[in-house]
Amino acid sequence: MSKRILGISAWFHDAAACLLVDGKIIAAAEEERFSRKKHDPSLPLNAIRYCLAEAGIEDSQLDAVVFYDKPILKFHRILESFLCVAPSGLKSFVKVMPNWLREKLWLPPALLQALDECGIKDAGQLYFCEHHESHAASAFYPSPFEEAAILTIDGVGEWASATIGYGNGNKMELIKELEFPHSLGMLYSAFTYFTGFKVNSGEYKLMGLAPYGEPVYRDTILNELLDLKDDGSFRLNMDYFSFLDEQVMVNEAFNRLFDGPPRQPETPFTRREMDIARSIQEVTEEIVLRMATHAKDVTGSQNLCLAGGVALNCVANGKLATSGLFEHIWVQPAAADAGGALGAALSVHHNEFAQNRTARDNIQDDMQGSLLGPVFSDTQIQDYLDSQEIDYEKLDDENRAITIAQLTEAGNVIGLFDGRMEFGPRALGNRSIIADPRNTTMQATLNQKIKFRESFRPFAASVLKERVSDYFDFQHDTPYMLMVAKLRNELRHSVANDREQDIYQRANTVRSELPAITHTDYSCRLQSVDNKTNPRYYQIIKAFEAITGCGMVINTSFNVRGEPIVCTPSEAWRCFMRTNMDYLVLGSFLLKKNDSARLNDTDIWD
Amino acid sequence: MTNYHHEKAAAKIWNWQQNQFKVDGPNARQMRLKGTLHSSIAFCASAFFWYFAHTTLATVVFCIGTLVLCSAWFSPTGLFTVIDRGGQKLGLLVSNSIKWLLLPLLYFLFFIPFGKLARRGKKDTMKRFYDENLSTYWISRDEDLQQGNREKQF
Repeated sequence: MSKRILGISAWFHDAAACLLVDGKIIAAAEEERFSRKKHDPSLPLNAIRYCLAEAGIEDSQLDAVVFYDKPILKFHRILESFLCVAPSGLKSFVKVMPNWLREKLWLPPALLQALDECGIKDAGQLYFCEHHESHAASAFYPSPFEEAAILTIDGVGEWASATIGYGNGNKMELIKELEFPHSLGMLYSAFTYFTGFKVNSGEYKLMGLAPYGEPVYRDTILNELLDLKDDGSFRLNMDYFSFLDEQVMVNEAFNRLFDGPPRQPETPFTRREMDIARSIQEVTEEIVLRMATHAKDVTGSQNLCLAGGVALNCVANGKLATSGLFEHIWVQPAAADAGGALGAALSVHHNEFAQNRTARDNIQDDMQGSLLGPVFSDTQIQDYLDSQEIDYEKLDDENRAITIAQLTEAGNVIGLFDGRMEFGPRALGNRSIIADPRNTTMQATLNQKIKFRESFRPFAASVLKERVSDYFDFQHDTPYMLMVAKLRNELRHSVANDREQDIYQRANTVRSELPAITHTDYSCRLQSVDNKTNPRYYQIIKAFEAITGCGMVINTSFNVRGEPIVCTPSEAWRCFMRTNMDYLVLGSFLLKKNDSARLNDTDIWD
Repeated sequence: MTNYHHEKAAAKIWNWQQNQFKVDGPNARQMRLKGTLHSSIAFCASAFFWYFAHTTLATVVFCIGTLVLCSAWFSPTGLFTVIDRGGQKLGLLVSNSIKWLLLPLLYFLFFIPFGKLARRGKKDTMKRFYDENLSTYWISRDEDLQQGNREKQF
């Protein structure tokens, strides 16, 4: 009888479910993709249903259900925080408590009821992993390493905000931790809030803003906000933060330190925000590097596994990789809380059920390219297109990649929907929008006409694995788009100092042979694509290379601003029809904008 | 060997998506049932007040119950829906009022005094402040990730 373990993360942000059968990841998906609510924190009923259906075990039984943190410990931390700050904190107390008293403290019955609704009558044993144990397990167990140091950094779990651990074979231990309220994730989120972005989702925007600024506040942050030790451990100066007793991140003292109140969302950026972004980014990189150095000292390992929300900071990851501190670095693609569902399930599989890991080769991980979500067959897609009377062209396997490459080369923007949906925040070629990175106007076009968002942020590139070093000063694998690297010198154009120019003008300045993916500091977020993990996507880029000599395409997620990445063909078609994409590829079918029936705007969008 | 059920799983979730886009009106049968239940409670309350000689109150509650019952049976998706929404809003208002009454009381009676007690002598129970005497802020974990621990929520 095979072992079936269901991992669940929920009730903070990015709820997700993951199903293991005999240690193999059968399915994993975030709830937001089904519910269509971005960062949906609710109990992931839809994701659970999907995972069970993928393994064909609906109306059946499980061996274990694992939740990704320990709710009572978390509640204890919240109560102690209020004890610590009382008499202030009343407003926050009244806001937070009802949720806990009504819902979060009664997790086992809620979970069992949810599973019952999904057809599971016998859920097996219920387990609760620590939050950072879940992160660490999600980083180590699927990694390509036999043994490795583990570093997890995020906002906060129960008490821990960062941990250093060590994994060897099927054993994993957490050796050290930093405790709340001293948290790198919270520090970064405080600046995310201060620069006018949304906490828990706008952090990557702050990272994208950083290259426009200068690190003028770096010393202020290091001297006033932190007591940072050589080993990367630190304490925050809580005189400047109010997340303990209020629902906002920072207080008046913080505002005074950074020359005024927070930027209001959607208002223009000033030099101050750009400088702040650059400063906190540099401080973050410094802390991550010191923590990683300490992890190496403690464990003596040459391999590092990373997880936790801060591990999505691909600029810091890239610098860590190029620092040469570790021989190999592997970052969990669903590094934030969604990945906790996977880690929790893996931890129970290896620790409670004492199952061994398969042999490792330092190259191949267990994530299957992080393509762990639903896939739709050509028959299903064709039935849908026919039922909706949508015109299409069927592409045969032989010419599919060439046709898509030719359309891309001709300057078209293409929605690519193919294969299993990605698990984690990045689109990796199966729910992506692709375009030609050499096109000088493509960055502006994609931002304004497709994504409907601020246009200061650059796009990521999907590069043929064997050609990464032809374009970038980077020698590492980055299959999950979690590293940033610098463009090689010979591809750069010299640009006059444009520091005083408007940010949007700067964003659209042609800086290289590949302007659409080049940031103002010549950096680029990149995904290395190999033929083994995602052959159909690889073939498209290979065909594009054959036509143009350029072994990469722009890859941005298939969604519009504020919407989760599309999951089903109908969502892909809706997104296609409401944006200015030129073509949509649904599996083996090609749809052209002009040929398709116009979408009735009375249809419900979200 | 693991078998995937891609098509079946896809069919399942895609159906949900299509269903989610349909905006179904309230089900008349469910609304009638709900109205009957609510009015039954009102009639019981009315009988209770009548028994204890609160005749005016009993009459008011009886009238409300009758209105709910009639609207549920004769206009389940119209008038009853409006009354039901109003009732929900009233319920929310009452629960919010209780929340703002009880929780501050709890905060003032428990958290403020015990918090002050815990912090007496400027004790830093939560280790909120810098400690110049420490060379590191890393805390060694004294407990292992042992078997059995994962069965607990704490």
